[in-house]
Amino acid sequence: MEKFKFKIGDFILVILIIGLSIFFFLNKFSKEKKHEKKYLIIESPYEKLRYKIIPQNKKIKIKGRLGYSTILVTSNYVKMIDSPCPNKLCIKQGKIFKSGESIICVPNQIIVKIVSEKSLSMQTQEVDVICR
Amino acid sequence: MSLIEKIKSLPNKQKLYYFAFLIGFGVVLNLGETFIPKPLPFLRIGLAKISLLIVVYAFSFWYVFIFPVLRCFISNFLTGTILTPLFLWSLAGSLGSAIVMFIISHSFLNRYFSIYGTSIIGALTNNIIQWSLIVVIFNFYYYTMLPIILILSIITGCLIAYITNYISIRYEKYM
Repeated sequence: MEKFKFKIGDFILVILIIGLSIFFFLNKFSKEKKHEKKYLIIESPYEKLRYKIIPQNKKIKIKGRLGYSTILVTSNYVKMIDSPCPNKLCIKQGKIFKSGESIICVPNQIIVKIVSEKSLSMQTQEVDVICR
Repeated sequence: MSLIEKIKSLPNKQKLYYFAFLIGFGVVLNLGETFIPKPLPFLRIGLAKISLLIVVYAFSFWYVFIFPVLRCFISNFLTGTILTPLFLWSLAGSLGSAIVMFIISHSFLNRYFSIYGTSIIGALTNNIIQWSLIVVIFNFYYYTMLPIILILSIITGCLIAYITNYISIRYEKYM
């Protein structure tokens, strides 16, 4: 019975493929944070605000159905600080960082969301009506 | 001499019997693979590649070209899935990988790639052809799957090559 021999191409192939897969893996996760511009959209029944490139350290007061809510916007995250709703669930939702995440205050009817540049054009066409 | 080399040295008429046997073997393996659960669609352990490896090393080009066509037709005919996407994906992937494996095994590259290398490349081309068909036809950018596809193809390629090597060495006495 002859012995089986591995040849050099096998090892090169395996190393190449593992390197390629690591490259794709890393590339996928770093794309989101740096390259895409993020927009911040704050909607309420009275006004709709849209901010380009999230500004730094700003407090925004927005008028909802029950009163004024304050939203803290920093360069890293967005957070709801104060809101006149009874349960304060929107404050407990915490911070949002990436595009696609959102903070919603249901009694006050306020939506705060971070969208990417790509989905922004799609958004303005299909803005949902806020249920009343 | 291993099984593969023994088949290769037969005259053409006797080779044909082994070719038919290998097609049947491939069909049975394809059917038996439906029992193995697949978490990811269209990515399976290509058990039928065992017979494809033997054919690629032991037969000439037209045999290698016809083999996946016949195998896909028969196995999909038996499960009633002809003209579904599964059949087309499977046919495209098998054909592409058979041609690539034939090129590697019958050219100067044979010195650099052993049976493990051809099997890994075959699994890789199979998965990449199927992945690109999904992206092109459904327009659904599936890029997260790429690292999984690459690593899975290495694992299944090694597995198939190991099984083929074992069969080829151990069962040569029964020829």
